Amino acid sequence: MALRTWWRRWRIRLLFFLSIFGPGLITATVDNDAGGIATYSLAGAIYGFDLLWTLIPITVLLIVTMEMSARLGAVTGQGLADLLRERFGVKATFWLLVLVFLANFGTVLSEFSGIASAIDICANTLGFGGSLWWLKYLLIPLITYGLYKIVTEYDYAKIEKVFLVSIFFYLAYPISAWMAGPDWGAAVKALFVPVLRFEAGYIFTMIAVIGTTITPWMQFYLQSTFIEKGITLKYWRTARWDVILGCMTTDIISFFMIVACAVTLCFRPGAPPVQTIDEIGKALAPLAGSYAGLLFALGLFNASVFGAAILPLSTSFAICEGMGWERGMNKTYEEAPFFYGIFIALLVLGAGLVLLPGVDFLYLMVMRASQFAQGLILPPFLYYLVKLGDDRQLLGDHANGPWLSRFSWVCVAVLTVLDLVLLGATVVEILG
Amino acid sequence: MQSAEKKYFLADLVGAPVIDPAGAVIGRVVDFTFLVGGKYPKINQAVLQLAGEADQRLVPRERFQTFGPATFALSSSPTDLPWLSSAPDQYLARSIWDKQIIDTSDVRVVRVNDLQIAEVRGEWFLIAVDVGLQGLLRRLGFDRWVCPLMERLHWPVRHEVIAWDLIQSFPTGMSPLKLAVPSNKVQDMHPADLADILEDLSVHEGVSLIQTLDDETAAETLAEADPETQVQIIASLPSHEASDILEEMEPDEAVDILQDLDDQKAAEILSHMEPSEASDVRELLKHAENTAGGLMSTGYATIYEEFTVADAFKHLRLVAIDLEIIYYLYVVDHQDRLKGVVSIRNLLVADPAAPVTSIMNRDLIFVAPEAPQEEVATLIARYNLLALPVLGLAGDLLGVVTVDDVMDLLLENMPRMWKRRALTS
Repeated sequence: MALRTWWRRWRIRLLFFLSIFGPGLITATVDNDAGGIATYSLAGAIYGFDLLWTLIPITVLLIVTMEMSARLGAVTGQGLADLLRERFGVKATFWLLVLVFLANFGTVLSEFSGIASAIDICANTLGFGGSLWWLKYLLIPLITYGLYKIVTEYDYAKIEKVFLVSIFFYLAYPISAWMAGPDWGAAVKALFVPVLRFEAGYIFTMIAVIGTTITPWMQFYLQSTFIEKGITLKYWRTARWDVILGCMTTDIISFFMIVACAVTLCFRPGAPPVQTIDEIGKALAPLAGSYAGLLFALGLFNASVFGAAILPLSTSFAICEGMGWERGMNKTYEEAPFFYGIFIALLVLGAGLVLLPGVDFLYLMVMRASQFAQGLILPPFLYYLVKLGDDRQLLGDHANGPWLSRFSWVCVAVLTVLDLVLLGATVVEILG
Repeated sequence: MQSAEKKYFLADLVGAPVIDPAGAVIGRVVDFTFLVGGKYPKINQAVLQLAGEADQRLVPRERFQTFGPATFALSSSPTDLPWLSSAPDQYLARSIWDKQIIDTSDVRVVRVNDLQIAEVRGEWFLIAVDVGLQGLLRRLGFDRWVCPLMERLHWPVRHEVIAWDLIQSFPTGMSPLKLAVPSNKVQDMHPADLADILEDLSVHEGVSLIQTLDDETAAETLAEADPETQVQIIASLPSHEASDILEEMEPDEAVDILQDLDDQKAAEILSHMEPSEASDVRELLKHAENTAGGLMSTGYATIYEEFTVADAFKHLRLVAIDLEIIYYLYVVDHQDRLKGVVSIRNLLVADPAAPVTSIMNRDLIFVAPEAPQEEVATLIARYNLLALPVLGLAGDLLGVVTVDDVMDLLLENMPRMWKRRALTS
């Protein structure tokens, strides 16, 4: 009885705590989805601390871009795709959305790969091994159907907070990193001292790290949440801090994830390179011992389902917004065929493709490659975003200041150069 | 425009080659300007980009020999044509393409994919807006192969154009698209339809839409919208405009909105209201939202005990226009204490010279302002009332709750099956 009242009291406190989470923190948490976990883990496992220095510029860029789209939403009250269409016309919007669609489709695949991997790891860790290979064939269709039902029939915004449990999972990484006893001095030094390597693999991973942190779909998603929650200029000061804190949280998590993986998975003499997703889970071994796999699977599962709930919907919404098609859950299938069509196609294709027989070994690759694709489409996307942010006619006094504008353009240029260098390096490697 | 000789789409005209009198291609068409005034906007100039020039030029309609998607042949050398200035002209492509408009016939918000232009007796007019997939494909340059392909697959691409006189533009944050349309079509739409559109728009767009309406229509539209939209729109309007609209609403509806606003904004709006209207609203605001006091309205008629039936009618004629409830007249003494109720039916069948006290109903059913809304609903349902008076401690009449105000609650409490039948029949 006492326990029950205790729980009731704590539940109220917990719900209150969760209710003050703003769109910024939620969006930033989605950022560490299946692809994020895979990309950061591999960055640590393959290159140790070498990529840590990218986190600071990435955080700055993340804050700049997220703040920009949040500001666009608060000032204009219009979605990002709406603004793109009105400002740059149908052609630019269409091709940009094609890119966003392709990259997002990859990311949906990566979310389902994450779900499938999590189920496989669970089955393996629990000792059933190969005899439970069919489990995902049962669970994934059920999960897909459940996601469809939740998103179409319930108030998603209320359920969304449930997924924030993943924040607690991410706490496992700092603890695990601490217990593994890394050289913290070296880690902090690596955070500030850039390491440049001109090899395709390194640049590929770097672009994937950038692409998993700063993604167009998050900008679309954040801006639409701002509009949906009616956040206007009046609440802008608070909302801006929420966005900035969210961005910082996501990259602090990334830092510990890379460190934990670097210490536990990297540089072991004679050890083969990390090949499969369950090996990444071993980064949690210092904390959870033999339960590391299970803990990892639970975290991965939660993060992937969270992503799979948001991505197909926000992708479909952005496309329909840009193309001027009817959209939204308050419309029927007849009224909004494109909206439901794209949404359902992404869900079904995502779930279906990862269940093809014999594709298990591709899961980890899909997770990382999709983030790389997000990184590739970033320069054209940011080009248009910064142009909108600079637009005085649109934003008035809330347009980018001269320094912010200059900085943003430098970022766009640097990212473009990175993409081109990678393309060049790949060509050289293929030829040489 | 039945007598149209030729019809074109803007996407086919933009980019067409411009040919000088010597027959050489010297540039491309970029855009057109138009004049508003008649039923359909008239196209009066083309914007040209001539090869090797940094700026664009304007050419009046009269200086074209031919005017069509294949060629624009100039009748004279272009060197004396004026440069495009930043004058506030109305452009077809720049100001209308890709903008949002309201389709007043289908009651929805759509995006302009393309524009249809017709030639009538040598003049060019903008006649329709293409909002369909075909227009989208045309803009992307895909229509030439996608449309025939889909045709062959027996799944033709839908062609959706809306006549210009059925659309209404509204200014959004980005594009102050203010076309001087001859009549305000949105004004003629049913407030319930307008409320549907309002719910589909973002707050900013909704505010612009509300601002294009007169106060009365705006109030009716807002009253039909869901509570969330109501509050967002009123909160985003300048206080004096918000108060003008709330004044037009029934006081109890206005109070519902004011209660959900933050206190500062609510006080600002109240301070802009007319004193009499504001005092009614202030009175209602004192009561909690889900009680009889929070639901009640002040839009009813009171008459004094010494009135005759004829006096009652005379009084009713004077005030009826502002009333929410006209089925009942409330008989009060000079301290505003409720003495009885007369229905319109009672009055109609009574002798005009008879005192109202002789026909009024003295068995009063009433509630206190603190009574929960469930109690109000139960009483209204049990006694089949259209309205229920709310009395203060001294028996003074504070307001009246009508059956509409508790309709939602009544429906909620109905058994499920019954409710479905009631709603579908």
